[in-house]
Amino acid sequence: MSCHSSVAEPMEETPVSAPGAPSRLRTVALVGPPNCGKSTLFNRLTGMRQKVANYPGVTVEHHSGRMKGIGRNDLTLIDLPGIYSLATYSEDARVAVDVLTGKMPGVPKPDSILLILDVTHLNRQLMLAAPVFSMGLPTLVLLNMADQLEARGGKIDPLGLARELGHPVALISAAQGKGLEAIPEFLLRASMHLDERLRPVQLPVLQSAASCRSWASQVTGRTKYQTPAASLWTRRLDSLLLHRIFGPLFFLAVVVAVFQVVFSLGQPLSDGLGTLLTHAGARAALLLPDNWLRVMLRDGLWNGVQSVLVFLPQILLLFLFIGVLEDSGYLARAALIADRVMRSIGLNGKAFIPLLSAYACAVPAIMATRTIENKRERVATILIAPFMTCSARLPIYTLIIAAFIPDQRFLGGVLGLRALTMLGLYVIGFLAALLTAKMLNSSVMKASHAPFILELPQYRWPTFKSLGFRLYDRGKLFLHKAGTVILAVTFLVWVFSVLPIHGGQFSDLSSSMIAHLGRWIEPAIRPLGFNWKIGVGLLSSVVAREVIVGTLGTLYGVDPATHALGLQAALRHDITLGGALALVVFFAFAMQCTSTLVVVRRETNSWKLPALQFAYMTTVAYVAALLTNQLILHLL
Amino acid sequence: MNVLALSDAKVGSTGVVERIELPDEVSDYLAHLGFLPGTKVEILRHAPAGDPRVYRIDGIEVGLRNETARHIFLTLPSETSEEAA
Repeated sequence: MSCHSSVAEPMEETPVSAPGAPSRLRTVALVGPPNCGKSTLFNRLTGMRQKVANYPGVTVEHHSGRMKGIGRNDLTLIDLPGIYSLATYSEDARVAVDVLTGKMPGVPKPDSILLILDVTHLNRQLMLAAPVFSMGLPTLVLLNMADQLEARGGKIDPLGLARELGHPVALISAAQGKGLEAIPEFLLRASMHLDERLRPVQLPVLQSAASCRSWASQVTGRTKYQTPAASLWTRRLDSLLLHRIFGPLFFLAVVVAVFQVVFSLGQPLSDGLGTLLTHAGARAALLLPDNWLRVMLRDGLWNGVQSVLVFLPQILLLFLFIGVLEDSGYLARAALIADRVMRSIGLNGKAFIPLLSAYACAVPAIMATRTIENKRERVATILIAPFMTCSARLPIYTLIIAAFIPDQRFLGGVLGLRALTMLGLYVIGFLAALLTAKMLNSSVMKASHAPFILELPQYRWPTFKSLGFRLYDRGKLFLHKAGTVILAVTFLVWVFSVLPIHGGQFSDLSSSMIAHLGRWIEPAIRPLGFNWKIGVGLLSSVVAREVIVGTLGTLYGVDPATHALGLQAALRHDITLGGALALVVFFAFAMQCTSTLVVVRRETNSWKLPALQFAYMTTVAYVAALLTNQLILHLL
Repeated sequence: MNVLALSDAKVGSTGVVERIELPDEVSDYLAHLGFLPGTKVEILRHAPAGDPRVYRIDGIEVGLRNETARHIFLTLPSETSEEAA
């Protein structure tokens, strides 16, 4: 074939001159089965950064972006959740089908399709091609993971396949960015209506799974497709990581290692950052005239935000670990190991992946429950997800643990008491989730359970680039939160800590409005071992959990008794061990997060569930904190 | 040739899917993963707790609980069932 183009065209000859029709192409949809690399390609083509990972069901929403680097900038690309067919059993598949058929409000109906298939499993992945082709849109078939096909000894004839399918075919590697020049070529041709000259092909009449399957096998058989050998690595690794004894041990070791590193590596980094920020703040303060402006900037804006910012190293370390687990493919194995526990509480094993992602943040976790087909199980998963220890709890946990728990080491320094305390907090959150699920299961959630069907992806090396992007995005998100929500709330706290103004003077903390408010609620929280400052912290952190650290930083910074001390020392000066542990226990259970409440409302279309969830979690948190403080009071 | 439930086949054995007796939406989903009559399936391993088990079908690995695998039936070419052992 003389054609040196990267697109394998089903036609023998490609016309050079095109009918100069103006292009009407506007919207391109990315369609494909789960975990075939749609979002990786989407990010490549738009320069955006949607979340990608190595497990099925990462994308549960549609995302749009402008396509870049294709010589025109009027094309919108839509990334869709993965689908196996156009039948919709789960919420995320419905999103995909609604967008494709133009039924999604606010999203234009796509006028061409990039069908992306994992070429290492072509027999199965090609089943989706039949229903997609029958939609009658210009479609380019992208055979992704071409690099792996070659490495594992598989073979494919793209030109032969294109002839069989009646649609252009290109071999690509979305991860390495290879073969992507086929896409602009296809779009150019599609916008000139060249594909109307394509030879129609025989598609299965009855589009059942069985007929699509035999059609796919016939097609690949005629094109001499050779399935690549199974990845030896994945098999060897699995016989170790899913081993009867070693598997669960490894799982536990991974979890403990995460916390150990967060403390032994994260704490010194965080302390260093703290010193740096304090010095920078003091330097900057000297540049300002000694008046109310300096006080406002230092006490009202800098103190609160700075006390939260120091936790950046720990947050980044946590996300580095989460990134490695997700990108390598281990997450699906963890789901397999944990299924026994999930089943004993009546939860679908599929709930495990959303629940695991709740360790980063409950908001995407609640959105990820869309992959759960059974409505009731989905609601149960939404209800328990916020009990999982999200990264927003990390600042208050590490603050209290570093201030109150001695740095004792066991097993030759490998295991520390601080890391174990942290592990304990994660465990109680998980137990609360289990017990809640169990309760729901025995009372309201009596439904037939959807089966546990989990595809185990091949192991892959996480790339530095992908991990780097994750950390960058997370860091940006954290800094953004510190500079907006946390800044705003702690500034308000400061304003009320200097009001009312008497004779042109700020009032003392003890006679300020915030102290009055704090003292008013103090009787309710004194049994928990909290003082009024903690009380104000709890109220302010209903907005977001990190705010408590900012509020405490602000209040202790204004207080003449503690303003010269660091926040850790100030806390040791002010509350007992019982109160301190009660505080972290409170945070383990409480729903201190407006974003979660809003997303639950959006996903369930009513305020009923979020209101119930808030009341329930706050009650559990109050009772557990009360018990903790009283227990420690009586023990010591 | 003997027919037995997928959940009863031994780890390490290979059989051919004969029939699937599950509700439409489940069997349809399974079909898209490759569980269709006539397809070869290998019982790879079980999770540390014994259940779910991992099956290799059509180049991929799928984890299924025994409660689901019980409704998928295999024909085994030789005597590799647990009853026969």
